[in-house]
Amino acid sequence: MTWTPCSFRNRNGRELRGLFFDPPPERPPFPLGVVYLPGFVLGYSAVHRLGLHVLDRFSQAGFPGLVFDHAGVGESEGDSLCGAHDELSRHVASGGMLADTIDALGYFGSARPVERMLLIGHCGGALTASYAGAVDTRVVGLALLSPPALEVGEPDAAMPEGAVNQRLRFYRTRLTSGRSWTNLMLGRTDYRTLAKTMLSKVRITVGGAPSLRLNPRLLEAVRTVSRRGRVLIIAGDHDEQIRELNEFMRAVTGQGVTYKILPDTSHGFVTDESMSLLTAELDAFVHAAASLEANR
Amino acid sequence: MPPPDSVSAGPRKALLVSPPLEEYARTLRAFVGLGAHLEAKGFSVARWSSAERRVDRSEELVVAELGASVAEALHRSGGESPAVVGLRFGAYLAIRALAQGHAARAVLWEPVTDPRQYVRELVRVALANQLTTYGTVRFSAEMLLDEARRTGYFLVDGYRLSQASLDDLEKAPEVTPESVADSRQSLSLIFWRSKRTFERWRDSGFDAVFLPTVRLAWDNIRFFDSNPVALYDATLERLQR
Repeated sequence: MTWTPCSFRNRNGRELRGLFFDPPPERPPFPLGVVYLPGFVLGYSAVHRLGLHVLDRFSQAGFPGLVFDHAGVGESEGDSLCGAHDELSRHVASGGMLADTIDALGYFGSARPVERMLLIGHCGGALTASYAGAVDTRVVGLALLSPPALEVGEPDAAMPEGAVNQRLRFYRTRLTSGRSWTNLMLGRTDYRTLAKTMLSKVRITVGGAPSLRLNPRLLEAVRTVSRRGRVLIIAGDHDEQIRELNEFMRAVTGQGVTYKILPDTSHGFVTDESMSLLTAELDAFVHAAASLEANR
Repeated sequence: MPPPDSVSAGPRKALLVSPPLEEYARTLRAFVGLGAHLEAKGFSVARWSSAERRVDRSEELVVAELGASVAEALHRSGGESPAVVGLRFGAYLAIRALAQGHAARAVLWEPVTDPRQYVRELVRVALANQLTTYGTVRFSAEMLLDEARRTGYFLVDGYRLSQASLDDLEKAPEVTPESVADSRQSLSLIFWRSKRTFERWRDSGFDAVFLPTVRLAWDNIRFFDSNPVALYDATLERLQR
């Protein structure tokens, strides 16, 4: 077993809890640490313990790792983050998780023999990873998994086309489900999303796909880190924002940024095939970063 | 996964039993909040999860083994028989602990009462996952289960649930109001989704309540209530009886 529970206080005095992943004793650690930032606000065990799996793998290869829960999330102290998905997404996209992340990087650097760091972030965690990488010069690499590329707009903003189509496919499968119709009748359906999906589909059909408002902070952060190190962006071909991410990549082209689209892969990398492909990409990325550091 | 929070001092003891798989992550904060809520009222609280110490994607849900682990956690908390609170499959384990005398009182949140039906739900989730991965359903339920028998695990939400778990869940007994009638005085059930199940238990003379305002991230990720105070209060009131 390679992990050790850890905790530290953030700048507001809240105790944040996490796990260190240390290389086995017989393996001298690289001075390159890996920090994993999970998506949304569910904590580090979501989704399917992806971050734990990744950090455990890299610690076996000699890279110290850290995962932690931000204030108000998972095991950590702080007022619980509650609310509609859009509100919480705006909180994350506007940098609401950044301060704790900066504090965590400082703690990691002081508690482990780590001189430089790679950040791996999934979904909203990818946004936070990029923002942190832009301001902490110890960060020499970003691996952004399924990053939401759009600026998170007001609640009435149109949905991305991929998201609309994905939800319509889902609703289509429920047409013959008695339970779904019962839920609809009894008010247990998410009417807001249903209405937004339908309205967005009508808008796209009549007026074409809405113009994209890319997240400018993400753009700038990726450019900043790519000047200092490497950035790897990975998404599945069935990610609901794949069209928007492709557009984002057209805007961000430059040396130091690699973009990989994995076949038959969703936003959450839930199949074995997706996980194998993802792991291979991350392995190559981390080991290439280690080689660069060794030659620096 | 890390061990649950340590046991703290207090005269009354409660063990909180989380559900497995992605429901664990989606309800973790509610359990952390419940723990703090109960501790503030003088309870000594420990948490239990099947995910303890796991850093890979595998999951084992063999009822007898999990039941023994829950019983051990209850006995480890020491002293008089503690109370147990469980959600979904965690509630199934909680009611077993009560029926077997390891706990003095149980409060169940939206319990899984029929493990075979629970397996059907997991299969439905696996089918829905294909829509987001492939854009269509490529593999029928039968094909997925055949694949599980071949590989030794069933893939659901990215977790590898062992075939032994599926086999065990298929033969695990259903919990009905009749099967736990002897525990009627020490059992409370709280629902917010399954109205018919709630009515069945209430009509059988059990303490059952329906709280329609509760919405955890398990219910619907579109609204994330990680601090459901009404649920905490209803649980506390029942634990204090």
